Amino acid sequence: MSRRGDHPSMRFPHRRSDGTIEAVLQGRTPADRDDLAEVSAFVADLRHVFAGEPARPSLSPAIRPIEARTLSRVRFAFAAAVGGATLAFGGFASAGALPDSMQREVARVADRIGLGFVPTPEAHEPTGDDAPAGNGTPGSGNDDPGGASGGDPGSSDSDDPGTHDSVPDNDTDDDSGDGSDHSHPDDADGDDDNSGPSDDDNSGPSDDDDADDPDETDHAEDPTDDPDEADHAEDPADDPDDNSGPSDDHAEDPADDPDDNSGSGSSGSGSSGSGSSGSGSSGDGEPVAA
Amino acid sequence: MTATSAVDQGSFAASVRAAATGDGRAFERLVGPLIPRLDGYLRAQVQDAADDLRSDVLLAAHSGLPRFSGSEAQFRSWVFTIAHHRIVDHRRRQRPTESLDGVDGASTGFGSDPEADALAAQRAEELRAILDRLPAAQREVLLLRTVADLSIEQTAEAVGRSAGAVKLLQHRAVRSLRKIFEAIPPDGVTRNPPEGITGNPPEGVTR
Repeated sequence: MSRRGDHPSMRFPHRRSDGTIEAVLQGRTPADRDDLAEVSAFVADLRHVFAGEPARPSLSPAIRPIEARTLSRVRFAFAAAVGGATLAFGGFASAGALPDSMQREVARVADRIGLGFVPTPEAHEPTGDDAPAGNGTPGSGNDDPGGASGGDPGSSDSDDPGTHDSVPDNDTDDDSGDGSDHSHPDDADGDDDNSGPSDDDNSGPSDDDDADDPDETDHAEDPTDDPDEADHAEDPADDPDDNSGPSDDHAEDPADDPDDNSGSGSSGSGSSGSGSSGSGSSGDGEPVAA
Repeated sequence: MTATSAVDQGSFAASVRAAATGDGRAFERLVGPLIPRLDGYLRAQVQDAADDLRSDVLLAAHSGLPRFSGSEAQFRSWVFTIAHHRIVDHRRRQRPTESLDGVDGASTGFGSDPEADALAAQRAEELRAILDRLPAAQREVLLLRTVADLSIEQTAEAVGRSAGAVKLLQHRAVRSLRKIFEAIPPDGVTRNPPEGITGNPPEGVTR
């Protein structure tokens, strides 16, 4: 005679069931019975509220992994956001596109820690600001900017003369025009500049054109080199303001012989170049002669 | 593991004898460790008369002590047997109308922190509402196994059934609870909390 539960196949389910019930009555969720999690939680609450036993440490185990996953997602999102913001900020800083005050600070800090690629706002602005000063000290004027900006001689230096060629009044525009400085395409567009009611643009491109001509800086050293004055003095046609004035420029501009444009620099340059007399004269020369 | 395990068997028997002869301290040593769970067991079933029932139970135990003989575990189940009988009697006497003053601090046995007391009372009320949905026999067994922390044998002795019957009842109780929770929406149990906890201002009080 075998009693009930003697045979393993009979005993096992019974024992497991008892163990499951005992675990639930202790307020624990059996490992393979998530469906009893709520009942276990209820029993744990019973024990806590009515018997004064310690509170349940956590929710059912089925819920815990979800919390962990959510937490890791939040961490990842936060890290990604911080990384992205840092990257964007760094990009703006290295491009010099931050607001001046911020850019100045960032550049100062960057210099302090040995990062030289963050430009100061002066690298752009002073060009306009220096212009008047440069007027005072002709020769050094154009050189300084290069030296000042020291860092990137190439473009920024070249910009300076250009912008300075233009009228100081235009500084603001020039600044925006700096945009133009950066954008050679604008120069190519010459059209825009010329057509643009803002004559300043004309000066803008000219700047760039100057930039194209390494020699231009030399011209700057010329006695006439005061970009502004010289230009104005020599060739009224070159003067952007003159554009507003006499129609000559406009008449000429469109013309902008491909040559001139190629002189490119010339065209605008013409103007500035004009300052530089030599080449500029060539460019301007024709129209003027015409 | 019982709450009175600290008292060894020899001293337990001596305490029983001393208490039976009217030694108040000995009686206190015997029942003192049982009081919290006895309170909880009573509060889980009768919110409005737990204090009265506790007094009844302790009085009955004290008066019946001279007739008691047994181990510490047996004493424990004996006390809860008395409590069980008192609750059954109380339920028989109880009228359909429920008292509404059962959530005050005195009857719930909570401390002096009003906010904590209110929360605990609300939680206790929620638990009771679920317990009330169980058949009486299942509820009794469940509470004796969990709140009173009795073994199957002790519970069987307390409710006057066999151990097998107790196992069956507790199994059914767990199954019933699972069905109850399956029927409850995910946002939890929403019941009408007792007055005074809902935040409704008392009469005459304006917000």
